[in-house]
Amino acid sequence: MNGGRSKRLREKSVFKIVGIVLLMVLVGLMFTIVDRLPVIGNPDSAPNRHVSDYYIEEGPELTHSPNLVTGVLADFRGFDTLLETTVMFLAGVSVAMILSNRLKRHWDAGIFRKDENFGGYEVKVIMPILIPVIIVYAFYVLMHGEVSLGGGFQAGALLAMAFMLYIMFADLGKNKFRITQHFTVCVAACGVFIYFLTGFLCMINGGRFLEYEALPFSAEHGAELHATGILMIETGVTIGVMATIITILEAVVERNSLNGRS
Amino acid sequence: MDAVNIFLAEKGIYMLTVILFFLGMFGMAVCGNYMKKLICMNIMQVAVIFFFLCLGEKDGGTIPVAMEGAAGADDYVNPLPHALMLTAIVVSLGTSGVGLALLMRIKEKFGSIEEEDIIEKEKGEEADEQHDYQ
Repeated sequence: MNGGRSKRLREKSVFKIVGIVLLMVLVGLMFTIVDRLPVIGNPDSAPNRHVSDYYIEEGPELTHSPNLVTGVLADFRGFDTLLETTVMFLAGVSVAMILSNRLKRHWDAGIFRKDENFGGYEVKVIMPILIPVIIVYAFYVLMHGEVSLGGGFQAGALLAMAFMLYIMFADLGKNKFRITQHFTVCVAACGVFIYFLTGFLCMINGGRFLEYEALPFSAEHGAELHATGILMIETGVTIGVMATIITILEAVVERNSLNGRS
Repeated sequence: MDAVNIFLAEKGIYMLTVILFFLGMFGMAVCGNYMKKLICMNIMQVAVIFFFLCLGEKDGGTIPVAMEGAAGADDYVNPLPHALMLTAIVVSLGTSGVGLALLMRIKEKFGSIEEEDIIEKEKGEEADEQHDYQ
């Protein structure tokens, strides 16, 4: 038994050395092609020409969104973001499916407070001040997404962070504010559905999928419709990302609390 | 010395991202702990994100938000890599979540996330099954 273990250790160290040598060779090979990569910061390099110029020069006119990243993300590449949100939703569903095969009861949120050092009195004082600020900031990021820096993904992450802080520090025994992972999966599906719905609303008036100028709302000119469409899909993305992050958290916590007890 | 400085300023960041990428790959190949493998996968993803963001950089470019007095393509950094990597970051969050969920199941089944322990345990189970069969 002892001999076998030392033999395995020897094999493992040999494997490590071979790995290091192989990776050194690969790094050397990559260094040889560094010469062909474009110079950093060169405005005339290949990745900064072609379609990128079009996005920058025509983007604010065509999408009516001063934030070029949001314009590219939500308007020029709307399909990309649509499937992206779907992937996020599928990640949440798969986490819930992997972890919930023998769930029988809901958790009581006691898991985080077994360790008394985790949240002291300072934290309990500061959290009720901090969490509303985070939520307000998240809505600011969402609403401001197409005007200045911000967007749906960031807003969703901020909202999920506010919820995470809440379940970590708040006294849940009194407040009874609980969300189960089944509920949050449904919320994530609603977020993806809002995105799809925006796409289909554009088709009512004979437009194409995700062609915001054909949205069936009354507006003075196309710019407002673009803003409405981008805001709608950003809302969908926000809800989807927020619910997915909370789903992952809830699934892990529920499973963990069950394991702790059984 | 000047030539080296210029080369590092122009291409040095690529080398750093390459080293970071292969550091992650090395960790994924060599580490015996599945949690460390997952962290190394994240390091690889971050290296790819850095690489894309490097390509979007422009000298004298400002943030990609249209503003007064700057209309040309040279005045803003390239928004395309930023938009692509924004989604890549979110997907990396999803993959980490699924990976962590799988790790939890592995820990429940085998009582460990070390590769060696799991292999030993699987061998023991196979031996038990053969014993029962005979």
